[in-house]
Amino acid sequence: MPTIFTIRSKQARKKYLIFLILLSLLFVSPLQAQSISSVEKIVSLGYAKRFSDTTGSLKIQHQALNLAIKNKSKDDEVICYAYLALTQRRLLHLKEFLHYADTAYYLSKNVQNVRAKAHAAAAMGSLKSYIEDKPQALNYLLKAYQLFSKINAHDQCAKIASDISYLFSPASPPKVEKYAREAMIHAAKSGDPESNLYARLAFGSFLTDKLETGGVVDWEVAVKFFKETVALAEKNADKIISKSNIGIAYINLADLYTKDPKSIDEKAFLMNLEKATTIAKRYNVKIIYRSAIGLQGYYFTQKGDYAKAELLFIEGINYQKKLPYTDNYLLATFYSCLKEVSVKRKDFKAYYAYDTLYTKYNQLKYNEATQSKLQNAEARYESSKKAERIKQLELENELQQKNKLLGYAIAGVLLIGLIFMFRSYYYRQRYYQNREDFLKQEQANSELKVQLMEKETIENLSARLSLERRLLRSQMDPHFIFNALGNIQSMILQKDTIPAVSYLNKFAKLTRQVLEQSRKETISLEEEINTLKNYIELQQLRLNNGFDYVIECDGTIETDILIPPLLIQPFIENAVEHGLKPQENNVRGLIEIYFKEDETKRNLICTIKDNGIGLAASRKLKINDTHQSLSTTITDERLTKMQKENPNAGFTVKEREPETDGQGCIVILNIPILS
Amino acid sequence: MIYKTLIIEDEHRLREALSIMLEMVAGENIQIIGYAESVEEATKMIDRLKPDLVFMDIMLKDGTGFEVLQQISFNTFHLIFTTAYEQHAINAFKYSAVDYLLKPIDSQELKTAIDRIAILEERVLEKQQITELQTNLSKTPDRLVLPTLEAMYVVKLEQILRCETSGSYTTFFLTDGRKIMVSKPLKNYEDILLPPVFFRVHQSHLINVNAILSYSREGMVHMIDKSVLPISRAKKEQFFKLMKDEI
Repeated sequence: MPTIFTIRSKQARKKYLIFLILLSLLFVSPLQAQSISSVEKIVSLGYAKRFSDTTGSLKIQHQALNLAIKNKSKDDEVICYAYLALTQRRLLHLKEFLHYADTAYYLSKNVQNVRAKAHAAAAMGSLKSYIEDKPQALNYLLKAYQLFSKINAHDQCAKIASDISYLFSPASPPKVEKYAREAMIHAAKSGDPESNLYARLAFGSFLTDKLETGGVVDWEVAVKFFKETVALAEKNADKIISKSNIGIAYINLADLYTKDPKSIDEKAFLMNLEKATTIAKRYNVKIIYRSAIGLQGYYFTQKGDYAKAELLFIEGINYQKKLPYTDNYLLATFYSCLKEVSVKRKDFKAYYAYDTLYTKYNQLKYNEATQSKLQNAEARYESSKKAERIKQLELENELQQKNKLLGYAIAGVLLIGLIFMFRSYYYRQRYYQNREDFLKQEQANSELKVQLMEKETIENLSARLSLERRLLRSQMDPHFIFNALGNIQSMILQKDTIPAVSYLNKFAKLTRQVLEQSRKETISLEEEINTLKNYIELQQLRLNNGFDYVIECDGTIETDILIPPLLIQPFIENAVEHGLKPQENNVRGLIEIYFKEDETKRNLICTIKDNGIGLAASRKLKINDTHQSLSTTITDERLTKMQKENPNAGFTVKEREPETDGQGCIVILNIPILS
Repeated sequence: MIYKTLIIEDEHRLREALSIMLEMVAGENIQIIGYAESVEEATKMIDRLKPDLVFMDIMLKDGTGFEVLQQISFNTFHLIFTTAYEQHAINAFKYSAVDYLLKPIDSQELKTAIDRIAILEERVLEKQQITELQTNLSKTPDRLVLPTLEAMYVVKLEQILRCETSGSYTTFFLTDGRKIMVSKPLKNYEDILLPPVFFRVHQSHLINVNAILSYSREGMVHMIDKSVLPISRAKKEQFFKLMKDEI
């Protein structure tokens, strides 16, 4: 925006421009606290302090830089240099500004982080625009724009496009329009009222530019657009963090009324300035207040109402003097306006009085060091403005020397404007980048969560299936199956039809029971007992009825209590294969199974006794039985899992007491009762 | 010829089933002279009755059939193991070229086993074969017993270049140039000569992958013994995959 006005070559509007230039100061955005990266948060906090506490500001930023170097984070380092560059710009330390911007840009060539690269490009853009090297400024800003586009940072894109649009004015109206429109598109995509307002200000500026050549229709379009902008801004005032931009919209609208091709609508003009003032007061945006005063003063100067103009300028000066800090640029500008007013009034006495004050403030601001640093900018400014300035100086021959100083003032104000503009756009850029990163992170997190959940479900399922399969195998020992089939074959061969059919039926029933129960979480005690009976009876047939069995339940027990299925059978198998089978033929085998509940009623105690050869003798036989060890391992695994809920779950295997209890093995299972 | 036969089996019904089946398939050649159901009993009976043929169950009442083999002093008999499911034992049988039958017993398989005995000369159950069997039961086998009419050859797996089948015979080509023909189908060896070292490239050919000189995309393998073997179309993909894994 400032560029537009400064380059617009209407000498008559010169003073007016000063106040519009001031608007660029309003781009200050209070978004400092939105950072995510710790180093960047520190550096931005430091940067935020640059007005109130310059020393502290630089100190904090240097600390952040040291931290970035310590962390070996080149990305953060680049960002720190970029901030330092902008801070030095604010301090008008051209040499340092140049140094930091150059460093940031040089380092950014070696980093991959798009964001750091974009920051560096923007810092260089800022530097180039500071020394008014517009082609280079555009070059770097376009680069930053491209980088931000790449990461779909629409908010930042909206603002950079706006700034690029300003820079193209007035040299290339199509480009001004192109980027203003792109800014609008990006703003719409971002859906953010603040970016939208920023973009609308740029587009409004383009429309205002167009008035130079346009007619009534264009003016009406521009006014309509600004009215919409103002309405939107008011509507979304809560969501707009940078309230000053609302004020700018009003001031721009007011400015537009002064360009009415028919005649100026003074009422509308003043009303909009009034609104700007209201906003300035409501949100305590001093700069809008001063600008509104300045514009009114200028308007009355133009109109010839010098007394009113003078009053307004003095009010502005008084207001400024009330503020805790002295803005010498602004004071100089106000006094320069007062000088002009007094010239118009031919009141040379007043003129000299104002001139003295003007010189004072001007001198305060422009010590020699500053002036030398501004030479670059001055040269550029002079080259583009010389023609008009000479013309004016000829008219005001006597004031020629002083007006040259006014040129410095304009340049200085312009520079401040640029600083604010870029500061604003860096903050927004960073804010939206951070927000984008945060949202992306959040999205990635939730995707990861879903994946994890899916994975867990699949893992659970596969673990369950695997246990089920192993459980099935532990129950249906292949050796047992084929031996049973061999038995059936034998009965058929011997034409023992009835026992064969009965055996086959039992075998089919057991197979069905095991298949069904191995899929269940719980079965009733009754079902478990039925399966056991069936299994034991098949084993009896195999071993030529070489043993007996007893299953007894404690009187109090209810057989519909629920327990995990198929825990007991492997121990029966053990008793038969390793206890009873190796037994001498003269001893009749006996398996006793006894169920009772424990005191807590939470566990079922199952005792399995056999009168076989006992543990020690069985071990001596060293029969390598992988199946048996597998089924005991699975039972152990299952009971151990249940210990989380029921710490008593488990089993013990021991030798019977030969003296008191006789020979054999005893297994005590502690099975959780489930509900 | 009539074989004096001993059945060692701890389940009475399975014993009876085997007897009936033997009567059915080779009644005129078999004379059952006794049964045993424990290691102790079996050892005594073999030494006392000196059978021609022994059917040996692996899981006995008080131990295993292998223990019986370690304890006997008489060893001039034909041995056929019977088993319901001992998978690791089955592999050991294959490596050691010991005959076995799966329970419930298939009468056709039983007949084939008896017929095979008939064509063999009366033969000493070599101690070495039993030792091989014991070794193969306890660890991953690295040797293979190749039974022929004249002798039992024990060859190291890495000595085997390739196997070629013709009908129910398999010829082993060894690194030292020997060729040994056994009367067992290639299928029998495919189960124990496994990838990644061995690979059946074709219906008729099983090769040692380490003995490949080169192979062509068209599906021919050149072996270091200068033989050229075809890779069947169905095996090509699997073969190239294996070779890539090897490289």
